[in-house]
Amino acid sequence: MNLPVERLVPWTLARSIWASQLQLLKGHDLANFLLPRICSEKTISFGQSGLAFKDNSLVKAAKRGFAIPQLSKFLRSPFTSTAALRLVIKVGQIHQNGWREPGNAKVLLSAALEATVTYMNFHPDCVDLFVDHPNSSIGVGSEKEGVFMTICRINSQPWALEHNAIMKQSTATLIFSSDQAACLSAVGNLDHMLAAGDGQIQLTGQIPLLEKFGYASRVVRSELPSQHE
Amino acid sequence: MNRKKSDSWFKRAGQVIPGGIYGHVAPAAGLPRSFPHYCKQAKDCRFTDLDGNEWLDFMCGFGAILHGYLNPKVEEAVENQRLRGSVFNQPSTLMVELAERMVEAIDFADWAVFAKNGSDLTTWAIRVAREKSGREFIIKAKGAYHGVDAWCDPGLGGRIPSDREKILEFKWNDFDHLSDLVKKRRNQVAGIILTPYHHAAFAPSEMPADGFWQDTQNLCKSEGIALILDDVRTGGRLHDSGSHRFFNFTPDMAIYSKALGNGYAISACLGSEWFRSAASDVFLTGSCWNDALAMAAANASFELSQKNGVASYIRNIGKFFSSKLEVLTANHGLPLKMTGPPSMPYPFIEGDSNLYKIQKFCQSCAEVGLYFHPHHNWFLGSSHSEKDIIETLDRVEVALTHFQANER
Repeated sequence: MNLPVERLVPWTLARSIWASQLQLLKGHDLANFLLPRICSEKTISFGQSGLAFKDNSLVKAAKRGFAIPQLSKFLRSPFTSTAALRLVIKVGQIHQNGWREPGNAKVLLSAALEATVTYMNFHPDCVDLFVDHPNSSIGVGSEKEGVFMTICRINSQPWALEHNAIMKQSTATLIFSSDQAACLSAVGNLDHMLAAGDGQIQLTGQIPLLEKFGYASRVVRSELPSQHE
Repeated sequence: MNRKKSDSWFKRAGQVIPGGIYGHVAPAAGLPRSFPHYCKQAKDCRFTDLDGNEWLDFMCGFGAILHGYLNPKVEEAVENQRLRGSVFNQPSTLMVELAERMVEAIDFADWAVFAKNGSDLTTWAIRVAREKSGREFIIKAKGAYHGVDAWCDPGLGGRIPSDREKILEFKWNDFDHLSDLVKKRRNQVAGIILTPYHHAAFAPSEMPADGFWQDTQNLCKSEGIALILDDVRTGGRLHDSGSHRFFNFTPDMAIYSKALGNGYAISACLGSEWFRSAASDVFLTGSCWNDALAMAAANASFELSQKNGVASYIRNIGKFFSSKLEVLTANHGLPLKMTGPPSMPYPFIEGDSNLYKIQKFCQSCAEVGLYFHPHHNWFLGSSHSEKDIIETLDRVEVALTHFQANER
């Protein structure tokens, strides 16, 4: 997929919303309800629901917590569009107000990891960081549960976030000491160097891959609009 | 292991120092919850951390200590100078003595300059090569470390594309690749900068292939390219008079640092007559670069190496250590290989490309007070005695039982 640079931020936001929704509805039939799709006229739609936003509306939504969807598409299927919008609002609320709740760790992490993966696939500087990693994976998890998500790339294909531990041993592993640490990290409020030193995160395996991943995540953090700024 | 004070100071550091501790000693680069964050004191090949835990050390201050921590000869020389002062308006004569001593011992060298860190002079040396030739390009081996400057640092931030536009890379030991790069940029390459062998972090060390150095030297000579030896990490541990002697080739310039001052900050670039004029045209200075204490330490340290044949000693003690360690670990079913030269071996476990096993092994060793780094070559020094090595191996035996228990 070719993604114009100016569409990277809204596309990343859309992918993050979808990743959060996947985690919220894990195991549910509607897991891909908000799967985003790039449309022409600088619009991004969410699944088959009829919910779609202009690129700049999505960016506004991330900054202010609300934006108006494309009404013409919305009105074509008002019931599913409303359900989709409610789901997006729920995701937004978790990100805005729920990041101190340990129970939201996986939802928040899903969004943050998916955003980073999107940058690893499309942001020119981030793409360059990983040219030497054609077959690699990063397991992400907690001390309590072990690895529960995996970022992986096979045969130089795009990076992908899997919402479970898909391999016995990843190239590198990032383990949070607590759900709280995971929440803080997901919203960019955890200093990765200090956290590695004080045990809030454990880094094992190929540390250089984790360094690059961490750097890409900070590029994301610096470019994506957020209400936590 | 008690680490209460270490953690408490790290917390304080986090308030006022980005990352708490940075660079190659940043916690994430090693074993954050096994290694201490701070050291209190050290003597010979042992150190005590802030919480009073005692360690048998195999990193030697990441190579900066060649003759043991607090070596009496070096400390005496420093103490004598300390009574007179350290930094003055003009250099002390210790600088001249050190230059004479090094130029006499290092066979290709006709001059020497001094700074504080390896980076200061690797960067300066490539500028000298550019000044001499009027060419722009520099060639280095991919993954090789030459310092903290933007043309070569291994970090990810603070770079712009032009930083590395004139830097070309080839795969270590691939002479054909190197030769191709030179041919494609004929009369445009000012210098080739290389370490004596390939000692990248997070990967087994690679010794030079047969003929690699001779071919590279010939290529440089025929193409008018400066051959710059980055002997910063290796200097003093392969040969007392420069690592080129160990591998039998002749560079045009060589940079030394780590072991040179036995813990006092100093670096040196030595060069051949051909580059003297260019060297005097490339500006070089620093606030404390004339520091007489470091010059006194380097004079004493270099003299010790020459007099006692230190490189030979640590190669031998390193060989004894590495071979025994390999056998011991193999007996416990762990295929540990010590790669690179035995005086600065890099540990690698076969089939452990993702490094989990070596990390666990080094963690287990940390539990019995052995400072074994999982991602960086280790360093031996003249203070490592056979007795220390035997004690180390006894501790490894205990660590291996921890390791195997954790593996199950």
